[in-house]
Amino acid sequence: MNLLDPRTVLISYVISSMISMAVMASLWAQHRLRSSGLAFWLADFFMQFLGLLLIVLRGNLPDFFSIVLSNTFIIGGTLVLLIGLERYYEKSSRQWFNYIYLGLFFFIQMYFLYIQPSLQWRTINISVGILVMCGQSAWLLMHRVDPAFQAGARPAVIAFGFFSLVSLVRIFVDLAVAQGTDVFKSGLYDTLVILIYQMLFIGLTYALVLIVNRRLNTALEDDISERKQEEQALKDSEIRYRSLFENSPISLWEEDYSEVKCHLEKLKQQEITDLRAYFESHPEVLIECANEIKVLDTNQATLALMRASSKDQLIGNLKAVIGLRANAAFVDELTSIADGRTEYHWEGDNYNLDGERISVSLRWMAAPGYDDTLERVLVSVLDVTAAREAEESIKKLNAELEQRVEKRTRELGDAQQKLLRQEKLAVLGQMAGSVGHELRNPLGVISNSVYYLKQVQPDANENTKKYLDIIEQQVHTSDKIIGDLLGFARNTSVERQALAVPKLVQKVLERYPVPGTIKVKLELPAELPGVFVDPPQIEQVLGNLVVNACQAMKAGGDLTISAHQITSDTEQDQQQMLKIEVKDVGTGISSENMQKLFEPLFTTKAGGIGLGLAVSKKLAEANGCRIEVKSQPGHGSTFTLYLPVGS
Amino acid sequence: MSETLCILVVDDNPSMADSLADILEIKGFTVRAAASGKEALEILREGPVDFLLTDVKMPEMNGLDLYRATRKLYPRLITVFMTAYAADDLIQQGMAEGVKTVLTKPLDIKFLLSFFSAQKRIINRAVQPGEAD
Repeated sequence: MNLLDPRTVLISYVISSMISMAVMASLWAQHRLRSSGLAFWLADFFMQFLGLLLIVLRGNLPDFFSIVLSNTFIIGGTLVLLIGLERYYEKSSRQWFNYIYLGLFFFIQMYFLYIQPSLQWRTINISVGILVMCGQSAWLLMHRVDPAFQAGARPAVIAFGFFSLVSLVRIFVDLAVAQGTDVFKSGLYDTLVILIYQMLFIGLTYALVLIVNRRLNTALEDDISERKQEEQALKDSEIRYRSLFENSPISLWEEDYSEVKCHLEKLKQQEITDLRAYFESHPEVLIECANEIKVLDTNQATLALMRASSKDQLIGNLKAVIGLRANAAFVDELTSIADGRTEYHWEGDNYNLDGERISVSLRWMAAPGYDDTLERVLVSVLDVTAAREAEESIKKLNAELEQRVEKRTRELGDAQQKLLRQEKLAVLGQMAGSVGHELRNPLGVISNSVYYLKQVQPDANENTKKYLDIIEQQVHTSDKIIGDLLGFARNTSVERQALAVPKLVQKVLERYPVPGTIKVKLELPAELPGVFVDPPQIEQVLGNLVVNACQAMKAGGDLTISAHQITSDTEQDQQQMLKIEVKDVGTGISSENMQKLFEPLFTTKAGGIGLGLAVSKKLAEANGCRIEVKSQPGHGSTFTLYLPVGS
Repeated sequence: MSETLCILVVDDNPSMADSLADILEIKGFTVRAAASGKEALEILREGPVDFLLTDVKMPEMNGLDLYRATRKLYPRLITVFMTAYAADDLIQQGMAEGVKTVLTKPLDIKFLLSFFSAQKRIINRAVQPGEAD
């Protein structure tokens, strides 16, 4: 059977191994940076090629080369491939036993060539060699590499597996069947084996390429998925940022200050050191700079703050920008930028698009990564108008409160003073009472003494009599003053009873005798009803009126006391009244004095404390009476006492 | 029986008691003066008087207590209070317990005299129908 000449097959094997080597070389060239293992793979393929070439040149070369060295290259190459695979998968291990085995193989091959030539045993040696190496490679790729890579290495595992399997079969066949001494005359079986090896070798090449590509693919895939994840994360982050930016309750602005920065740099290069002064003297430059600010984006809160209906009104709108930066503040801002600051804070008043004033707190910050160029600047604006107004109103309220507290304190002070005065008055009143009473004792003694002296000196000279009279009168006056004082100080307790008017008048005239110069006229009707009053108190009242009348007529005159019953006109007047009039023809009372007449401590007389009428009024009112006065200066006065009728 | 009535004047102010005593004497009364309730009671133990004219506000023993003390000795003794104070519990109580009247200081001497004269007439009339002294 010469359909398949073993030599031809071997030549084609050599060629295909050359192609494989070339493939492996390109693989190495492309990916050598990824792993050092690939160099070993290339080395193996070169050794395979070399070995096969040596085998083909059988007959043209010494047997050592074409039988021993060639197969040693082939087996050695497979070992190198194993080492390369280990390297590639970073599973390097010690190979000393493999090196020993390789040495052993070499010697066995030498032995069975020179010492005991046997093709059969040489073939078996080779098969064992292939089995050992490919078995190890298969084992490496199946179990020793990371599970993640095992899938990618599967084709190679299959190739190595088949290599091992074929070798194994070959060993059995060789052991069982006798051999010719020359491999080339071996027949169809051996040609088939070589063909199978060739196919397997091509398969192995492909599998190794696949390994690298698979790994590459996986890596690429990993990269891609990583990249995709990163992209997604970035997108999410971007969405979050956007959402935060857009929905922040604080007014946010994204601006581009790069042009401004350049402009300022230019100015600095022109050696303008005091920017503030420069801006003051060149306000047009300020406007230029303002024009160079670009508003890139704003958020909802900004629209609300600036009363803008859409972002377009703010983006690229110079007015919006200027509006939020008053001149002085803008100069501050520019100088800070010129100084290289990347952060800036400002508080003050400004205007929104409607021209309304707003109080704001503004923070300006270069976005991270843009510190140098200021291409991205984040500005946040806080509307503190409400806070400011609240502050103001609190201040106002405080001031108001303080005022009120002051007023209250003053009022309290006044009330306290009043209370103190009243207490003082009360104490004085009590004291007055005690003093008054006590004074009556010595007055009593004086009065007795005067009476006695008058009695024992009926014939004393005129002067003596006169002075005794004077003392008596003065005692009387003092007593009256005390009486007035006590009357005023005392809380009157009224004990009313029926009192006949004539009796009252009589008693009064007895107690308060009129001077000789005064003539008393009584006009008391016979059928007068009795009055319902406290007798001593009303006596005092009437007595006071009589005394006043007398004192008004120092030079003498008529004192008229008359009484009339009053017929009530109105039905409401349940209490019937009676009036007693005390009329004098004295000096009369002026209109200005009329008002103060009944006030305590008011008197027109030289002597007297001025309590008489005040007390009389008090007593009268306590008894349900009333005092009225009519007067004509120079002609006299009439005091009318109204008393309640009753029994 | 004596035409002159005896008045016991009691006042812690000696001038008051003395001046009253002098006045009443020249008007025909017999007067004994005391400066305190205790003195007055001593005088009364020596013998009866017709009238007791006493100040109300006195230290140690006031007029009311004195009056009450005299009631035991002389239940029919006519007593007159005199006082610088117009309204007083002691006075009211005294009036309730039988004090004849109250006079305020400075005394109305005329009234005092007429009061005692009137009392004198009453007493004399009471004595006259066959009563030996």
